[in-house]
Amino acid sequence: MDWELFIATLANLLGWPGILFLISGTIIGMIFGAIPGLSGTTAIVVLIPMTFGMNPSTAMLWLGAAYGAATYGGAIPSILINTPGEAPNAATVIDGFPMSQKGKAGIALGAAATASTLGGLIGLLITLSLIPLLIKFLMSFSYQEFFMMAFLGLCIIAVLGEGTLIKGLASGGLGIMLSFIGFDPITSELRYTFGIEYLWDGIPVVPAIFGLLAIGEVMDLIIEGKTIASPRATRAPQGQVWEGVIETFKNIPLVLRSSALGTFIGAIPGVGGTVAGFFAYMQAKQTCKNNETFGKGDVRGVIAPEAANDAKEGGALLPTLAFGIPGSSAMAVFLGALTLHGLDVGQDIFVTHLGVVYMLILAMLGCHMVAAVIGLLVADKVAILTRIRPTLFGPIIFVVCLIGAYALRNSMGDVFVTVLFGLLGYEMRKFGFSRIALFLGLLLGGMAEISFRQALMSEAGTAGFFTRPISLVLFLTMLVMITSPYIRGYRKRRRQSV
Amino acid sequence: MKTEEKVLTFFLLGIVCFMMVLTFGYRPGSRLVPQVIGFCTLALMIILCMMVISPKFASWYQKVEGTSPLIGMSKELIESGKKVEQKDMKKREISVVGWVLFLMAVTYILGFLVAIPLFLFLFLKLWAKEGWVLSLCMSGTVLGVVFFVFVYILQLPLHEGIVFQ
Repeated sequence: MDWELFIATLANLLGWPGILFLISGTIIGMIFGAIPGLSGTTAIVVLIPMTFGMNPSTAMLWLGAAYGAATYGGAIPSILINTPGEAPNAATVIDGFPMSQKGKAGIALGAAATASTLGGLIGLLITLSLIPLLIKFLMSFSYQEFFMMAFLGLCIIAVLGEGTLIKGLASGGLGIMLSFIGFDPITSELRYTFGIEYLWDGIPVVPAIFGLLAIGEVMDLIIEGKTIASPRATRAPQGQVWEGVIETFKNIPLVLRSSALGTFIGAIPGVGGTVAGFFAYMQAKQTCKNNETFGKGDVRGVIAPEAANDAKEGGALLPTLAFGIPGSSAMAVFLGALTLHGLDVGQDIFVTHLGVVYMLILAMLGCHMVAAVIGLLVADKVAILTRIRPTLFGPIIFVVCLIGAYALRNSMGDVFVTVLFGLLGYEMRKFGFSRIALFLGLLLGGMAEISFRQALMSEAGTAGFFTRPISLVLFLTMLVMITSPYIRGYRKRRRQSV
Repeated sequence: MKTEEKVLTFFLLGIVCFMMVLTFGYRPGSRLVPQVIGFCTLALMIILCMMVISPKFASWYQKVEGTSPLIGMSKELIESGKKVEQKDMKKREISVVGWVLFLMAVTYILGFLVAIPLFLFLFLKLWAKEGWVLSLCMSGTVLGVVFFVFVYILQLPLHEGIVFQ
């Protein structure tokens, strides 16, 4: 490691105007993350045109800060209004929102801020130290592993939907089926398009999630006519926020485990933060004592996914910078920004522009600290949002979702998709179908199909799924997850009969 | 409520069946994965349909899975059902769906910059029964923010509506 260059970069970051870009980027990222539908990716897209006149290092500082802070920003609406600001925050909803309903929004926000900061720091530090080892491991991932990884992600969602495993699996299956709409990725044959040109590229994922999670949720809130917080939930005092900070430090082993997991998953291209969050939640539920409170407003259910979400950013940097393989959609946009500033990934960036790499990592480290300070200071004020009548903010969310969907590709078709998925999401929620499994199926279906067919064409063929060690381990984990509710049922029946 | 769940489950089953039938018209390579996934999803959907139709089968399945999937209604709905009359809820449900479709239709016909204030004002005034001042202020403010962020700053060409295009 070039310590001289590292310290010089740090001095640039903390000097003027570096610190200004760090703080402004963090605030912009947090705002984008906090608004459901917008995300860190959107923040980068919006900021890229403004970086034209900057030197690459400053540009990366600004973009890195905005992107890094967005994930924490996304936790705020997840906790307060049951709508993830970003898709990776979906797992935070499971316990964050029930905490908000119990009047513990402040604790959840405090815990989310601290876990995000610690997760981000740990993720980036792990990445820095494990760069050579991780690259070697990632190189061993093949089609079989990608396929298994996609299905494992789906199984986790189905298992997490407690009591509705079959509905979770069916929703996931339906999501995968819907992901087949459009061009066949290998033969280019059109499938399920019915001559509609709009469907050639498949169902767009972002409008679908706007509809499934945001519109469906807000419809439900308006119909029920309740505020998000229960009558007991008045406001979250500053003390409650600090209680969240303390809770996080009490659960340091969980933060470490989740961050390590998040970093690892983040480094796998295409799998994304949503899976990281759910993986972390699942491991927290399985490894923590007194886990029966998970899903009912347990602070550990907020800490684990938030730590993993922010840690995954460090992992996602690896394949992006080293191979030009983006670990997430935001990283794909980052690649564009690097090219725009004349930086080539791989050997070029690591040898010739190492300072830019350091700046990017330091910006993402710094933004977590700034975001935590801002988050802890304003979290209790933000908690007041939960008392607003849904009839007031509901229609605004409808409008923002529709504009957000339109803004992606300037297409009214995306607006129709958002509304259709909104209605479907409302009905699915009502009858216990897993909307997140449907979304994940839609998201990972394409990757699963390509991986499966490429695996069949590979030398190892079908046998490769079971002869390759990592693929086999993933398969067995999946098998255990699916069968565990039935084994539990069998044990329960046996206990009752005894 | 049970009928509504039956409709949803059979509707989803219908989608999967329809997609499965269509796969037979595709080339072997293109239909392989859709058929494998479709077959599994179809099996799951059939089980769900059986659970919706037959309470006996549903209770047997609950025992097998070892959990209690609340067939018919989610927990939250059952809890909220105590507070909101089912009949009243049905009316509210239909009207909210109507409002969402209204927003989509007005946006398509008149464009975002007309649809946003129109929808917000009508929704707040007629559905939420808010006062004139609040309804007007909120509609104006949201329109202003949308215009400032999306048109002025982001320079996004918002849909103008088929009437004005």
